[in-house]
Amino acid sequence: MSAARRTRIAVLSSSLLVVVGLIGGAVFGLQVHQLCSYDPIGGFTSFALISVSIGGFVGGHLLTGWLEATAGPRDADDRSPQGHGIRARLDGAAGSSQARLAVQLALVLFLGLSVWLLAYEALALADTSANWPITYYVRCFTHANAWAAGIGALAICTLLGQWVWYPGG
Amino acid sequence: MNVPPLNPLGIELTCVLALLLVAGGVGLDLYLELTNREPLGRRVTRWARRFPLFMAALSLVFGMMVGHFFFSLPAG
Repeated sequence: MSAARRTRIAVLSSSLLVVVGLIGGAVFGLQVHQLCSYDPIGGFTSFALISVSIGGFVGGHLLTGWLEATAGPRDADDRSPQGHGIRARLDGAAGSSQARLAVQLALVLFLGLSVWLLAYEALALADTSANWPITYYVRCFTHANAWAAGIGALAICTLLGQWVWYPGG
Repeated sequence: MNVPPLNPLGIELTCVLALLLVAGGVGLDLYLELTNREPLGRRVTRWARRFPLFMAALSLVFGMMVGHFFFSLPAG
């Protein structure tokens, strides 16, 4: 196993631990004051959050660039035909139709969730006296837990740099 | 601006929902890397090349959401 691959596994494992830790913290230990601020984030906190986000995004891209430069052949390629059943004969690859269905379901789920969240956000912004918009929750969390917001932003942006800014794309 | 009192359950659900989506993606990418399969980033890139308009629209929506949530201009 190459050093780049070991590093990437370490980064992904660390990111998973951070995200799981943040989920645990949100479920069991999140302390938010009833009167927490929903003012726009400004000053050093804003600068630091944007800086770690950009740094994480570029870092993720550089990490995958290192991985690609030193990558060996992959053991398993999902596009190659596998299996000998009827489905394998029909599709040319037993795993491909399942993979397509999984991607399609995930995409539909993601887009449906986005529509639901954006509709709520629009309705809440139209009348802020009735419900809190999601934006206010994000600001409130950042005002109350700036360090956790920074660590979460770094982990998420590093992952996005690995996924959507892949070298050669 | 008149805003109702904060519902602590709301912020908790918002955090958990967003983080669960990320955790799912990380878990999947880690599994692919551990089993020496093609990583998620390369699959996303291939998919974007195959459906560039769909990916552009998806990126536009995602970018607008991020900008709306994290880059606020001061009021007034």
